[in-house]
Amino acid sequence: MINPDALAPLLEGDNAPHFKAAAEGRLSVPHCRDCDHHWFPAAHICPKCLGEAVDWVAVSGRATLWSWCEFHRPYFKSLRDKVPYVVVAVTLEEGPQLYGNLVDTAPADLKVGMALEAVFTPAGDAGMVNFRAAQP
Amino acid sequence: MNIVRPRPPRPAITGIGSTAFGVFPGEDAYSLGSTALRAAMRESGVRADDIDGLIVCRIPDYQRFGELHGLNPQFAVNLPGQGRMAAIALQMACQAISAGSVSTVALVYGNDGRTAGMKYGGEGDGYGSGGAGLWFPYGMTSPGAVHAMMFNRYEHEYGRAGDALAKVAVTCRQHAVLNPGAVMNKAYTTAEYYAAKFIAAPLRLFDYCLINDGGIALIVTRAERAGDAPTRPVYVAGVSTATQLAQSTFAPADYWYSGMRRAAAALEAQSGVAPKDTDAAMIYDNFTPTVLFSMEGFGMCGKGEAAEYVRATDLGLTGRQPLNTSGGHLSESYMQGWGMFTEAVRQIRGECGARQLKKADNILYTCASPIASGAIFSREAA
Ligand SMILES: [Zn+2]
Repeated sequence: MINPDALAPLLEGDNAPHFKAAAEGRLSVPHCRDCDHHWFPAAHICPKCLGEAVDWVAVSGRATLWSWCEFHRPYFKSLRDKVPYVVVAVTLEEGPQLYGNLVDTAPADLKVGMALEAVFTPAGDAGMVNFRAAQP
Repeated sequence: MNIVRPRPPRPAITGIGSTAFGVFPGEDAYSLGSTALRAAMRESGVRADDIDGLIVCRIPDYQRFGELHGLNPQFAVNLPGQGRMAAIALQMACQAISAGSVSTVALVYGNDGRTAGMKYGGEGDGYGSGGAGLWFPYGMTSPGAVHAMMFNRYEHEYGRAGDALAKVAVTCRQHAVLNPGAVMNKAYTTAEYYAAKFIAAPLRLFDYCLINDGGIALIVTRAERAGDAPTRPVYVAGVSTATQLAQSTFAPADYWYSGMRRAAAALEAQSGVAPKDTDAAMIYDNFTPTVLFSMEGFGMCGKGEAAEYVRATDLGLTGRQPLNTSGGHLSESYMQGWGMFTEAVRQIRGECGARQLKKADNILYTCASPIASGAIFSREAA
């Protein structure tokens, strides 16, 4: 169970490989060896071809900005001092979408479709996948 | 050669019931649903023995609910407490009746979410495919934030539309002022709309619906039985759904447009009425942007044109197709679509007092979500 007072990614459950990889600086998502489809969150079968040849693979971290919003209401106690903060929805080069926080980038510079890159933020024994404007 | 199949007789709504909406400690989903069901049964003259289908929504257990009311229907089912389920309940009832397998179905919704402390953001957030907990560490939570992101992207694609959200919100509140049953009965100005605090920017306080306790019930029966009821029957001319479940952890890039187009086409085929030609539109307004998306999906305007349509259109009671005459989820109460069903029935019956429409022959219901849905309620039996 997630502790709302100290939010950190879960290191148990289907998505644990994603957050463990992030702790090691890799962006990892499920992948189908049969049809080369990538997706997230985790699923034991490929949602595209229903094949079972699923493994976790590292992807590039290159993404485009799908959209974002800025949280003003602190829904969690641990975020009370952090509002307003930005959550971005991104589309990875390989296809899957992710939510993450915006880092090293001014919210005013955001534009739908802009190039982003993943950055990894330690969170206990796990890592979080966040995003910033792609560096030239 | 086109084969035109005769349309089956329209199922009829012969009784509705609703509780007050608000904060009711001591009530729960069973008791709220029960109050509504008993009111609907009284209206329709239906007794427990007449009910041969039971569909409960947001009430935890159909068995307990059936036991409480001495029901032995042919089928019973419960649907989860999601707004998209309202039309599914209606569709199940109508299809079972049209198939000839049952005659009278009770649809019961009970929601004690306000008293139970239900929040659509934070720990209890179950929105999204399989729940939202995965994203909590990023502070990502609440369907409102998803809609804020959709609207942000929508504006990037089609241009500024914030003023259209304001107009939708202000209009719904004006309607609620005329509805004694509405939770919110104080009008606000456009300036006050903009002055309200952001929740998940670009959405502000008045872009969000109102979580409250309440119960609603409908008695749906086959057309031949409609004459037995003391009430004026209101007919279900059409009810349709279409899903977009693939990759639905994230909002779709088309804002559910393709699902709504499918649902709208089915609705028109069933009812013979285009959604845009109905006398009022009850548009599921959990958040204001969904109203714009729905206007496009159900053909009131073209794709990307909703903001301009809203600017140019009188959405009020004197307009060609008034919006959410009860105040909707934004200002009457968030009864997850069910309050829109009862409002449609009351408008067609002519029971709406100060907010009564002059013409209420066909009334539209729409819901934009991973299950897009629509219904047309009609004065006419065929
Ligand atoms: Zn595959």
